[in-house]
Amino acid sequence: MRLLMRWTTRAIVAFRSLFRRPRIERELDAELQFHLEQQIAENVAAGMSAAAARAAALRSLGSIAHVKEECRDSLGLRFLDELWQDLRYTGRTLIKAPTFALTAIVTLALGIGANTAIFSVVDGALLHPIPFPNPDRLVAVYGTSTYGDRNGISYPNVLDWQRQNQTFEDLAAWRLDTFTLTGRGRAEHLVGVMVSANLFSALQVHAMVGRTFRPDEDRRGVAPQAMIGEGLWVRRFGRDPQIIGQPLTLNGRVYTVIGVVPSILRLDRAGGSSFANDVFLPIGIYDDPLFLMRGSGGNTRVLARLKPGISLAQAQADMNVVAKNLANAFPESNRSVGVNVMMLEDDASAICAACSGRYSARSVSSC
Amino acid sequence: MSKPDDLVQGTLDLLILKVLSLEPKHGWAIAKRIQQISKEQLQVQQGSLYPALYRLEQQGWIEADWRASETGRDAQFYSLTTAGRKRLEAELAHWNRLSHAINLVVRTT
Repeated sequence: MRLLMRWTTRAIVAFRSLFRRPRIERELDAELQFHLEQQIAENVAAGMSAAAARAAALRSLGSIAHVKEECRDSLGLRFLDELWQDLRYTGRTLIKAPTFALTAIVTLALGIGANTAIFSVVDGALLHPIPFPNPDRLVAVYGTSTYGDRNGISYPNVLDWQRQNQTFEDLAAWRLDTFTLTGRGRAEHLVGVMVSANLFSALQVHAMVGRTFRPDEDRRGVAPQAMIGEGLWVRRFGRDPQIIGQPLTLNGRVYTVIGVVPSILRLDRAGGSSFANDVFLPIGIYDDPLFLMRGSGGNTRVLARLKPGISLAQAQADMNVVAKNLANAFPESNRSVGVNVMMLEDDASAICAACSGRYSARSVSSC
Repeated sequence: MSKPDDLVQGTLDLLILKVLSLEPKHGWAIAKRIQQISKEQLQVQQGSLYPALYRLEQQGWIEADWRASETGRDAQFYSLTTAGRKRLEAELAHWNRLSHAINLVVRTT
């Protein structure tokens, strides 16, 4: 710290000296001249002739240029002088050899570009891989419209996608929401995810403790069940496995805890946010009227697992048919709603780069 | 004639600060004063003196201003700052400790 301060002071001094430079140079000359004259005067007083006195004085004082150089060094000016000289020399050399200069610049540009590109790939593929089995069969499915090609979709449409598609093993829906946890000491504001029961089989994620949702729990009118995230389980319940079967009050509604979701699963969206996944609820129990409207903008997201042997193109073609059917059946809401299927892997890296929403594990949350 | 290089490293700063503690002086007078007090044993070369003065000024221990010298010609006079006075005390204490220690060794063996 002290060293840093000393260097800072030194830099400021050198910078200031640079601007006061003409004055400093004048004073330096005058000061050394004065010294010389004093020496000459003393020599004359000792009985030398004027010429001999001057010669002796000059001899005894040594090289004036050298002394000045040393003084400039004390002021930190020499460093700046040499830097400036080096820069000018570099400039002159490059101008004289334009071919070389151009080659060097292009080489550097290509080198830096290639490094960046490779690092991006390595970062996505090796450092932050999708942490679920067979990730090459995991896709993100978006709605498209005149507004964009990565839109959320309304829940009624998701249900029809699930019923009508031919190419997915599991097509799962999820949406983020916030909840207030009460009834267990300190109330807490939580971020949770509403998920379709098949999200866990789509990603092939198992509960750490307890179990995941059954399809018959993923609909309105049943006793509400909840899973909790590993983070909340550790933080609030001290990893107590007895949490299974206990009641949990969220937004005033009582759920029964059936399982704990490992933290490798973290569903998140948009803008470099990093929402926790503290609780998981079945999306099918959600009864908000807007959520149940086919024509609503829909903030429900979809990810799916391709059946073995099905290509991305086949899945896209399949979903195009589904979208067309829905457009015919519900022209008012679905006339311009298309479908965009993309590899989750590509989406995840695009998401990391563009920060436009992401599915992924905690390990990716740093991107 | 003793070259300043022969001075124990850092001693020139101490000598300059000490000489200036009495009254402001210009470079020439500082060199002369050191020479005179040391009974001609120490001669401070211009090549060491001025860089040292500039360095001390940068450290904020001495400050310079132009005044008329005893011959009537303007010269750069150096005087001790408050920080310089503290620095002198520190350097003196250090020097006393060091020379005492060296004396002990030299005399004992």
